[in-house]
Amino acid sequence: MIINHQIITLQDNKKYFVLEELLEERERYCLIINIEDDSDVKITLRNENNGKLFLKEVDDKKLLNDLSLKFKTMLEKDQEMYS
Amino acid sequence: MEDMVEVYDDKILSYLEKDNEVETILESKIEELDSEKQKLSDKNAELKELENSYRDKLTHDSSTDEIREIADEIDRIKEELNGLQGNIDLLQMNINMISETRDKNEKSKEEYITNVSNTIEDYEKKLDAINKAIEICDNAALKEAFEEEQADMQSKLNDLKKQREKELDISINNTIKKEDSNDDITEKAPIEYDNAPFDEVIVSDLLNKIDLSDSQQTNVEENNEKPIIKNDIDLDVNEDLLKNDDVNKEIEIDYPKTLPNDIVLPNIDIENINTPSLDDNIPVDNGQEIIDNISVDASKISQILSSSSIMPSVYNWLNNNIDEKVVE
Repeated sequence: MIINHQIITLQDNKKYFVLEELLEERERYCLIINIEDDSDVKITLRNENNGKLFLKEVDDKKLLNDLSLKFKTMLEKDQEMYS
Repeated sequence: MEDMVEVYDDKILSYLEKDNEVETILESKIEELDSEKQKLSDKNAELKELENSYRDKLTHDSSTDEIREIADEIDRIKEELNGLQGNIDLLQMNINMISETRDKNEKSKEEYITNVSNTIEDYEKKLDAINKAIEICDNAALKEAFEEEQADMQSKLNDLKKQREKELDISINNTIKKEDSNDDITEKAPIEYDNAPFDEVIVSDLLNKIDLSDSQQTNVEENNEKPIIKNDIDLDVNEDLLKNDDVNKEIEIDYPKTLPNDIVLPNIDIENINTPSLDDNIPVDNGQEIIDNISVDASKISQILSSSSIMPSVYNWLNNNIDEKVVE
């Protein structure tokens, strides 16, 4: 299921906009931002289990560093494209 | 002191027996090897003859059957040669292992000779002290007691010296034998045991009494008041050799080939052991489930991505995560 550039609702009923989706080392990560609170930004790991889709926040600093860098580049390109 | 002499008696006899045993096996293996080498040589000669005959038949336009017969015979001989070569390799391996055992035994014997020499030195020091005591002693009774002790000590010392000489003689004989075996193994002289150094037992008699069978120890013990070979004597024996069944048939060294009956294996109730199954719900933190998702129009996406309020906070957050040191 493609969730890139979609608004998703998580279990805690918070709504997020998926800014980017990235495939890295066979894992899929998402950069999401809370549509009601723009300070709530997360990089999450996308998991699928029994047909259900889950997002788990990445807390490993090294991974977060690498992914942030990549998302930043992607976001810049996307901004160029949509501008 | 007397006990020590007895220990040395036992030790030297065990060495003599082990030397004899190893030499006998070695000789038989060398004989077997010679026999196999002779067979190999004969077969090679036979093969050469057949090959000549084969060439001869080919040049004289012999019948196909005749030529095929010889070719088959050549193949058969070649197979036999391979078998013989295999036997030779095996025998050579056995000989190497036995020789190794013999060398270890020899080394252990050298250590023993050193010990005997040290003991002799100790005896001589004590004897020297007794001699000095006799010289300065005024008391006649005490002097007599010292002299008795001196005579006893001297006798034991002589015994020990004879033992050392005997052992050294055997070592020299063995060295000569080893050198001889390099030239011609069939011309080896038997070990001479004539100069028996013991007061209580004659070595050559004992060697005749020693039966290299299972009942060896019992027989020897029956014929002598004290055991000739102590169970706790630690002779160096090549472990690989012990594992070689062919060799063991001849040496007859006991080692456990099966588990003793009194070993009880633990009774484990396998049915009651709980192992995790795939059905067990092992909690895995997948994060939060996406319970709903809505597509967004391209125009709205563009609006979000160009938003001057949203995007700076996203970039800030990303930049905060990026460690400059790591990036560099």
